Amino acid sequence: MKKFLLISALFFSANFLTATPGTGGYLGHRLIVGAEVSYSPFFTSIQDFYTRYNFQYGGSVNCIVSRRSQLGVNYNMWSLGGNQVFDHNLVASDRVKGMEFGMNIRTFRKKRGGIAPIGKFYDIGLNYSQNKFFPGNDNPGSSDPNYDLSKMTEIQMAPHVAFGTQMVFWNRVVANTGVRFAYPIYQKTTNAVGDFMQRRLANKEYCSVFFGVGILL
Amino acid sequence: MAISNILRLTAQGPQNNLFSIQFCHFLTLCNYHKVRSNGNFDYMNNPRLFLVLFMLLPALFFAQTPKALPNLDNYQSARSNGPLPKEFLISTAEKYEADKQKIDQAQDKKMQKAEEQFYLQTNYSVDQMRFSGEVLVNDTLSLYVNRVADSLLLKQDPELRKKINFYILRSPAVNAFTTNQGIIFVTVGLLTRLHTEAELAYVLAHEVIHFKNHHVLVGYEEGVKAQEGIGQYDETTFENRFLKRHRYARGQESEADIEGFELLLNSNYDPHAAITAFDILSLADAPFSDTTFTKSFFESNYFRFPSKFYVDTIKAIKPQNEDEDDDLATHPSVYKRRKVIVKRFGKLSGTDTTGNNFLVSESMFRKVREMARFEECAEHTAVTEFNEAIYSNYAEQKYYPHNHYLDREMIRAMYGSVIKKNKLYSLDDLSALFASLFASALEDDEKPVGEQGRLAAFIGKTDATGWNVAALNYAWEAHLRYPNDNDITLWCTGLFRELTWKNDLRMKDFEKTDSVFIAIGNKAKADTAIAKKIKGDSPEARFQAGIDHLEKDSLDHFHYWQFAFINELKDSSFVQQFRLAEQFADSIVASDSLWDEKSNREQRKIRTVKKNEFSGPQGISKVVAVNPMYVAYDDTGANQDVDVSTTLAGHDKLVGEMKASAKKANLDLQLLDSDDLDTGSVERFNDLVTASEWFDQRQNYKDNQILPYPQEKMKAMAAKYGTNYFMWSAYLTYKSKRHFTFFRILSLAALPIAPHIAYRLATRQEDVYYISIIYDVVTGKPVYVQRTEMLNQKATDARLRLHVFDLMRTLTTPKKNK
Repeated sequence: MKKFLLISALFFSANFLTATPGTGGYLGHRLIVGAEVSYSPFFTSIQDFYTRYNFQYGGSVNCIVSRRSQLGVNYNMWSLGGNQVFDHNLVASDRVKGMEFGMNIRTFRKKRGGIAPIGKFYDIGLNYSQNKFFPGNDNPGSSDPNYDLSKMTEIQMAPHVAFGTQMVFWNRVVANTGVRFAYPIYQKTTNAVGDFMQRRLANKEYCSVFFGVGILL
Repeated sequence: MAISNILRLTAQGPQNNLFSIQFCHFLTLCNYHKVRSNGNFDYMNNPRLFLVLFMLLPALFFAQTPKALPNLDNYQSARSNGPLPKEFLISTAEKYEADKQKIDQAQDKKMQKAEEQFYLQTNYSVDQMRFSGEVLVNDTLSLYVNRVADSLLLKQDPELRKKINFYILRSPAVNAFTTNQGIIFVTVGLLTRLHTEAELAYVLAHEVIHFKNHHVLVGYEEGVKAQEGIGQYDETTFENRFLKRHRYARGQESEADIEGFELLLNSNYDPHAAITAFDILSLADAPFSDTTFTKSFFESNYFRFPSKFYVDTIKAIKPQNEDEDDDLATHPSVYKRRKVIVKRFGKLSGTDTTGNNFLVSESMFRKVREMARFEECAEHTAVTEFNEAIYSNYAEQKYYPHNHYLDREMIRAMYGSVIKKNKLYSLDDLSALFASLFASALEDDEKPVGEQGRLAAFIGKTDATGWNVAALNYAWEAHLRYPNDNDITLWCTGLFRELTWKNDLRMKDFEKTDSVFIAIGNKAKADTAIAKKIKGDSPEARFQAGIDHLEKDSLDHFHYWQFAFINELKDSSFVQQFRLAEQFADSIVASDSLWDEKSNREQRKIRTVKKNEFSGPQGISKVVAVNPMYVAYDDTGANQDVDVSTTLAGHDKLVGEMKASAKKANLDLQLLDSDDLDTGSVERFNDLVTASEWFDQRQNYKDNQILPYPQEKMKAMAAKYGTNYFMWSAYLTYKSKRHFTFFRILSLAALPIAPHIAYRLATRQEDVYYISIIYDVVTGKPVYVQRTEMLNQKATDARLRLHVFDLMRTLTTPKKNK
């Protein structure tokens, strides 16, 4: 997996960094360090509808690599609550905590007059996440000595595509917003609650709205 | 009145003399005594009139001795001179702020706001006009007009005189108008029609009254009241409000007519000039002359047009219809206005109504009028009114044959006309073409009007090839007369290219000897029926009869233009130019056929590469930016118009960003901007005018076409500024109401997910466009073209800054090696 990520990173960076030398960025500023929050309220389980927003928080570092592109790496984390439904209508309030590393290429749309870092953009990227299961007290498995639920983990890899708009204020502050669509292409879990975790994490990925703020360096 | 005006019109050549003026006055007197029948004079049935006319004949004979023509042998285009006036140097925003102080705070808030808006709009519009390149400052024409204004006003109201400045507007229209700021514009077209200085004085007097009585501001306020239904416009329908508003405007005009007349009466000018001034106005749409047009002007020994192109019968020029309904007009009909002044004369019994026709100088007046007529030829060409340009020039050449300036302008106009004719016809052109083709067979109503109409019909009927040959013939002759005139040489090249490229002709298509030319003439002479029609016995006359009367078969498929260059083809430089044009046309044909052979995919790819080349790095180190434009258009309010405040602020930001970004990107940027001038900047002002004119012209023609514009001027500017690269750029923002389409309504459903959608739905739609074009003004070709559309995006400062910086950086970045 690490090898895959490394190759991907090299591919993206090499391709874009050599494409247009001498890129100026915003008045010469090329680096954006920022924070991002995203949420995906609709794609949780039915019971969570309107109640869970699946907030994720994180930071990112982006570099303007060409007239219309910026390359970024990001780190996100989350703590997702979820109701696990067992037989006999038994519902347990469990939690999945995780963090992800990802990289993305943001392309500003030429037809809409976008020039990095301002304008409408589309964004493609790949995220690698590690998650850990935290059973609720009402989870029947937590008292079952056959399961060590606290050791339940999942690894996931999900490519994404996002559409949004990015602006600059006061020549320094970068803000962006948009919608992101992702689909997990690789999930590896330990048994027992694997199905729940996979579903829960996949629901988080499908569609999310993001807001980001950054500083131009 | 009809005949009087036409006679006057035909008598108004440069020799416009005492007789023509006396005659005009005589006819005016006739009108005054109502000896008209259906608008036309019947001299033969009116013995009294005939007698008076007969008595005037000695005067006619005596006065017909032409006065010396003003010498315009070395005439150069009018240009601004001297220090720039103060009002050219104060920014629009400052003028607006100063005007705002004049607003009466005691009046209704709505009217205060309207007045504020008025000052904003008028200051902006006047400044736009001032820097449009159409206004002349301290040139011979405007200095003269100001001197006439002195004669009119200095004794009567010296304080008023100090408040007003008169400028010449380079427009062929017959017009004069005033602004609330004390600027009165007089068009070149008006100057060309005048018979006396006194007439000009009356026109100025009329405009001065508009200024004195604040008609512009009051009229605007009245418009606001009419729109809002305030005051006299209360409780009435929109139509009635509209009619009332126009009645009010007509009232203002009448007031200016009468008070202006009083001003003229109290001056030393002849007050009768007020009446002849209205005669000029009634013929405002007619050219300044009605000199008979003959096709021989465009012919040479071996080049004759078929007579069928020449329309024999034309309609006479008639003045404005006397019965015209002016209910929907802002001005009363000229007929009514004139009648009021004539009546006013009736009430002046006992008052001395004599005066001078010239107070400043008669010779100066004649010079100014001739200069204005010279200028008018160029102005028609500038606005692609080629027929009018050719006719005005033709009329002036009767008095100034082989004048260098007129020759240049004639070539420009003919070249422009050739380009237009060689283009595929648009729907409008088609209707004009059909009208001219069938002109001789048309009903009286549809016949060409006046000699200018005859010339327009002639050009319309002439085939594109023949007209191209005629233009080249004319241009080459001029080239031989002025071999050092590089512009004429370049226009010849352009005409050669049109001939070979658009008309697909080669040297072999033209005869080198006159044997066939003579044979056609002899064939015509041999036919007894045709022989009778031959005027004179020259080979040219016989050839003319041949192409007019011989059957097509007898002409052996020869075209009338094929013999045009028999003499020229003996000239090696002509042959060389022709060859170069052939090579040019061949290269275009070859590249066109190569292009056609390519697949759609390949064509798309090449287009993309070319587009990227045009909008990509250029490696330019120095650029002259000409009048960068920022326009904010607001389509959301009741007045869908330019948002002047945003536009003014935006222009400052744009210019500021251009300077800052250029510095950052290491680009040597020279700004030719209206805000960048001082009193001593008249040269920069003229440069701004020249460059703006050039850009205007460039947009009318294809990239590979040589412009019918004095290219030498641009070459001189390139040398002066040390760069060939001149940039035209515009930043446009457009605000509009958001339309609630089905998609937008659907997006309401997404509000719980993305609440920021609410912001978009609640705010106005805004689109931004940024266009930059850089030309190499020496070759005349574009080197950089970037047109960015930012639809549904806000015009933020950061966006402007980024795009300007990106442009400067792209220009300085070296071109990629392929």
